[in-house]
Amino acid sequence: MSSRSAARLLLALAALAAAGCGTGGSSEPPATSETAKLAKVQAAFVCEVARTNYPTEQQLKAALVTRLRAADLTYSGWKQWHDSLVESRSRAAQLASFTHHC
Amino acid sequence: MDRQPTVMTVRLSTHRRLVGLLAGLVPVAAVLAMAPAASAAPKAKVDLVTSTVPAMHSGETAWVSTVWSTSATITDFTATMSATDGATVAYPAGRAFTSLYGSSSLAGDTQDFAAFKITVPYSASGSVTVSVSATWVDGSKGKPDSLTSTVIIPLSRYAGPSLTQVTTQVSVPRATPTWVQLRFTGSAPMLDGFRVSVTGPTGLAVVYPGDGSSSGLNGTTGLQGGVTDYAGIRLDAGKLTPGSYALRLTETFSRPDPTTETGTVTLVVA
Repeated sequence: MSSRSAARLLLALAALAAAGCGTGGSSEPPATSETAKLAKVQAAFVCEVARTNYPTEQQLKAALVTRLRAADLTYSGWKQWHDSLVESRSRAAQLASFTHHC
Repeated sequence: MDRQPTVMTVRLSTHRRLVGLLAGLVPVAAVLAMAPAASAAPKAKVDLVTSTVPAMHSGETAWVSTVWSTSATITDFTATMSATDGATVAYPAGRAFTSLYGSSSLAGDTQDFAAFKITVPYSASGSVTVSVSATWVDGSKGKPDSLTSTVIIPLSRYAGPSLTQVTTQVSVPRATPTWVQLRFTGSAPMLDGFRVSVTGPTGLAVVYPGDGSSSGLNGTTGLQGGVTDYAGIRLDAGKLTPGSYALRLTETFSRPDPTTETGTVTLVVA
């Protein structure tokens, strides 16, 4: 390997390391069609609670579960997705794209 | 003859030095690339999107929601509320604060909500002002931040029916005294001190919990609007012949004025 080649390789590695620090690297949970469905349900749910008062806390959760079931999704799947939002820019971007000012 | 090895040695030495220098620069470059990004990251702009929540009736208890947005990721979000006009506030799971639904973090450029329970007394009118105090940690800076704001709850007077009687028929065996449940769903905001008593055909023995003269609700003393609860009574139909009979129910409560209402349930004795 020539000196120039070695220098290029090391600079590329440095750039990759720097880029990895900025984005969380490849460990970021990916955005998929499933997470898009979850984002769409979440955005609609936030709009619903903004215009609805619930007699009980259970009825509030039931409103979410009803929406998830209608989209063939589960509450546990929603919870995992919700927890992943802060570490996945792509999933947060999906949610932002469905978010309405309701 | 002596120069050739000398040149090769010099080239090799230079190559190694360059590689060593660049290898040492890798972590430095990485740190330098990261450091300005962290320090230059803008402060998260957190907003309470909600200014007015859906209207409530005086006397009503409800879970209402405040919607929040942020320009950058925040963590450890908490909010506390206090209300005017004698309204009282409670939080999920009996905690001393509420947080965002599902977690205490909010990803950048997204919205989520924080719910709380509020009970408005019958004496309140017009509107209730809720003072909101929120705290969080800015995700990129690791620094705590806070915001105070207000939310308005418009109020109106309720003018509809008091309740819906859910139970229309009960069945008991003639041979054995049996507890039955009479279910009601609140329609008015709150029916305080709810009690029910029963009169039936001659020969039917009615027993109330604690050998009292009426039954209260299973869950709480008041029937909240939109909530279903039941009162239990024990019926001894040993002196009746098999068949159907009419039971007359008398319900007493305050909404907030003392009120008495009646209903009918069919008793089937087998």
